[in-house]
Amino acid sequence: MKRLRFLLYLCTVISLASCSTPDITVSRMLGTQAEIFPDYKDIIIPCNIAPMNFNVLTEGEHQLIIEGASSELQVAAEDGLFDIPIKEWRRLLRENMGQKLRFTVAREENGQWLAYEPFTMEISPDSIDSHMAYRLLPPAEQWLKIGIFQRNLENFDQKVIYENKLSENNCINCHTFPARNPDKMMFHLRAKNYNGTAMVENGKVTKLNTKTPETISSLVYPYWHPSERFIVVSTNIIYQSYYYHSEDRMEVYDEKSDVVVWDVERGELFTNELLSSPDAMETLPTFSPDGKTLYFCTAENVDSLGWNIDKLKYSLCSVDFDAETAQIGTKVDTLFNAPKDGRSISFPRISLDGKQMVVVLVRYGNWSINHKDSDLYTLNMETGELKPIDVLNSEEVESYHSWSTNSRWMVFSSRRDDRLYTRPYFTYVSEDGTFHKPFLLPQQNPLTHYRDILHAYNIPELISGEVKVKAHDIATAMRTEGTTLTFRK
Amino acid sequence: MSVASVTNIEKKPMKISKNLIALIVTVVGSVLLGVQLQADQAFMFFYRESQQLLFLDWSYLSEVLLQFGGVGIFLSHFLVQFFIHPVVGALTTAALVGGTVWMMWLALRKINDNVALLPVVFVPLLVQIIYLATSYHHYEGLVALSFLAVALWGYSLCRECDYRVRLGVGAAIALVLYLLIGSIGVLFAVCALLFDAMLKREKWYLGLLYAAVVCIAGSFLVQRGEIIDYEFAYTPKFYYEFYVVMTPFLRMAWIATVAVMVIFYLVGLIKQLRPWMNGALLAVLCFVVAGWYLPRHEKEVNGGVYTYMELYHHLTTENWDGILSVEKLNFQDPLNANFVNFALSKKGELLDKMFLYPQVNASSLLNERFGTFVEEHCVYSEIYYHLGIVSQTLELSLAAMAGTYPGTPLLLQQFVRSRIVMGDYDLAGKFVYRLSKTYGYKKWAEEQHKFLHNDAAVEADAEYGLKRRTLPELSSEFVSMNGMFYDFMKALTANPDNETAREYAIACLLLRKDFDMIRSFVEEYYSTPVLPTLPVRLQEAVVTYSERDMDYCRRYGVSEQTISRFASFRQKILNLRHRQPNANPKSQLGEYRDTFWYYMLG
Repeated sequence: MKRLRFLLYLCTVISLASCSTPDITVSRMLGTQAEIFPDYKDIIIPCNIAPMNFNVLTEGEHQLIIEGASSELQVAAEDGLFDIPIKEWRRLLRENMGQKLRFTVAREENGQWLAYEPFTMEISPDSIDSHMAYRLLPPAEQWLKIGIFQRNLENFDQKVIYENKLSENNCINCHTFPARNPDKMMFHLRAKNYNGTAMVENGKVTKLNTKTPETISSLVYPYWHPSERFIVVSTNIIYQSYYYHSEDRMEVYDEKSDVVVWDVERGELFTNELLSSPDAMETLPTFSPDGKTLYFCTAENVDSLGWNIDKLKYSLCSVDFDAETAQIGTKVDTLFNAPKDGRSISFPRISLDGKQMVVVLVRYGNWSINHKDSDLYTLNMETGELKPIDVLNSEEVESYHSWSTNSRWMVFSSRRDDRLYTRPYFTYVSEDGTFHKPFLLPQQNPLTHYRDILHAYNIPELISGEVKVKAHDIATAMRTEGTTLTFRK
Repeated sequence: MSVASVTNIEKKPMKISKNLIALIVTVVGSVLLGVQLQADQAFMFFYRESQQLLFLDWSYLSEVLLQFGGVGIFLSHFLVQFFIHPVVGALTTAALVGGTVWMMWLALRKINDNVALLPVVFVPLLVQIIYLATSYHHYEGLVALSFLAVALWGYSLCRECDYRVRLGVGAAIALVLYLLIGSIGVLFAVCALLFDAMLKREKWYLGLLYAAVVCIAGSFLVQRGEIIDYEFAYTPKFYYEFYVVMTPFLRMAWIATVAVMVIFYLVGLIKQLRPWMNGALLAVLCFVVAGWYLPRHEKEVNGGVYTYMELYHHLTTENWDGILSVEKLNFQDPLNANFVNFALSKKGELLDKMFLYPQVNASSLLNERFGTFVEEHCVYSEIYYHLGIVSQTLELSLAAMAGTYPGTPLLLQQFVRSRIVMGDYDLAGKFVYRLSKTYGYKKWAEEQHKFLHNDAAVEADAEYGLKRRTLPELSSEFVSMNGMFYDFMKALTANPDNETAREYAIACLLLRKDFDMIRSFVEEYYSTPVLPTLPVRLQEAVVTYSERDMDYCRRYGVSEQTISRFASFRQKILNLRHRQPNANPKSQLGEYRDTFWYYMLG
């Protein structure tokens, strides 16, 4: 027993000695900025975010000093990584909510510590949804190894929702949740024996066959109605081609598309001629937060599209929607007129407080994730005025975005880091609608994680909690015959 | 000295001689197997290596190791990465078989130490070797059997243990084997139970616990979504590509393993055989096993696929003469013909020698109607890169990568090269970094470093510089929308120094026998940078469509030599038709085999 106690004591001493690093005192300031990855300098972060670990890109011994209003934390770099202890981090967030944390990176030189210019992170009292769901897939639309995952934004835990290894390594299409609710989810599988749409409700999985004789394809790009009774979805015949030589490597485009509304309770689809016109392609629909307006992108048909892809321009339109009677309005409003503007719009997404609509603009087409020129804009829903969100946009792609439940945060996709691998960036949106400098999804070791990962983050969706469903249950349900939707004429 | 000690001393030389015989049989059997594999399956080993990537860094290794059966997958990939070297594949496989047979023998001799049965122990391994003749069976299947043998031997050492200790050891081995190596743990559970039963160990039936442990673990992992389904969890299917439909033969290696144990037990019930009878039995079993294995193996090896593997190996090693000298080329298969024409082009001899090989039509040059097979995408992406049409290379290599996560070495190399040509250095750098973490491609990756973010170095490089100059103007035009000739001309007009694009464009016109296109091509481009002179094969086409207008021929660069050779060819044809109107003149015009005219004869 004595020996055991001694061993325990020894272990404790050794572990404490190896963990703790003596605090340093800065001798002088270098007067230059530290080179770090990711760029977390002077940003606003949510009060419940995971430790904002980062790597210093210069050689040598480094120490990080994090100063709050009443306390300080020092972290020594290991191979350039500042791995901030999560308990200490949470304490700092708690103690400094609404204030700024000051980060000073110091470098050891001849026994002295020289400090780079400090930077800050302001801790917003507005929390972000605790989880984010996304697909991880190799870029270039490969699907041998893809899956839908969820990340706890308050730490570094990532869990599988569904991986395609369970269903013949098939393609998994876009996933969607009603108003950030993790208890309901739908996504589509394209597979020989598992083909269909998975509807998950409180852990129970149902398979639905969504291709009907009246629709051109299965359901593709979905968005839930706030009542959770309806999902508005596009049906698309999609092609993919590569450019001879272009800043955009490839193009994904629709040859045909329509928008339909899925009445989840009745298991039926319905549409009208405004959403399914033979002369136009309607796609990427969304509902307003009050559910009374249905927005969709639409482009006039283009002859010989493969040879005239740059003529494919999408406008943004809206129609009324009556959830009581399940009726689509018959009058179209055009919020963005592509032929007039010359650009093409996609992914209209309105904050849950109904104040802001953010859209993506490109020169043509709607597969913005492959367009270098793809940028995020705010669109005034009253006047149709477009404003680029300069603080979010870069030289590379900015695309798919998702609002937080409290409308104070938005996650969006960007390829700014290496032009191919899409990564999620977060931005704080003030009450007055101002967007702030974005930051990359924190990782335990951001440099090695983002350098080594061979998957892109795709369709990041903020959700208010963890999705609780067994991947095996999804695979099992998807092997069944499933229920076929009907089409209401 | 006790009686027992004396008996032991007397028995020892006998044991040594049995083990020595067993060792000799194992070594000889393994060596013969190695020789046979090298002779019959050498390119399969190269191919296995060329279809995998093992990144020797923790982030990737942890992804591999932490999955179900991950240690087995890692060890297999680790061994296969060395197959890039000649003979190593056959040598490693034979050594693995030999080692496995030996470990199995060490365990099985406790049931029956008749060394004459040793050839039977080879059977499950040989079945496994037959599986390896197909690329959809993973090397992990063989590695798993090796681990089974080691585990069984380890378990057999628990001879004198209390049954509770034995159960604990057995359950632990079953579980560890199952989690680390995969579904082979199930086979171990069965074998260990049989082993105890055959040796009538105390409470042998409690060995069912091993199966229970493995079943529970498997069920848990299936429910968690870690394993696809119960077939993958409990059967040899785990060692196959997911799309393979399991046949009884594909389960035979496992069944044979159990059968071997039963045979050892049953033969042990027979009264001790005389030494000469054992010798005869050994010889007969060797003969039977070899007599079954060799033809069965030959049957399993798909000739067409194996030829592809051979061609692919020569492609990756840039052995163009190797491609041209492959014995079993099938020119009716466009892919084979595409390899040959590609090799000729790489040697700068496409137009000179293409008609020396059977050409069916333009698909012999480049089959535009290729399917979705990864193999085709790999080859065509290489051909398009050679032509300088790098966007198509990217499309095809990325499509191929869709079927080979995380890609293959050649695909990643194509990706890097294409990106360097396009100036996408960050992306190229990402994959250069990944390749620098591999065993076989580290050196190549390091050589690419000098091109990253260095336009001057790229433009000065013979290969990259030419390809970059071949990039057309920035536009929103899609590649491959207008057929291959349009693609070739797009590259050629962008860079008239692109000799490959010129050769392919002309070869395409000739193989299509489209004289209107040939005429307009010659009339539009002759004496321009795109077609400064008329290659001999094109001269032959010009003289064919304008045989009554020699001035036209001379105006467009047809030489007197071609005109005179055509006259002679024409005369010979006329003579032959006069003498033998129904005969095929090709057989008697061998001296014109290299010409367009000979191809025109059909």
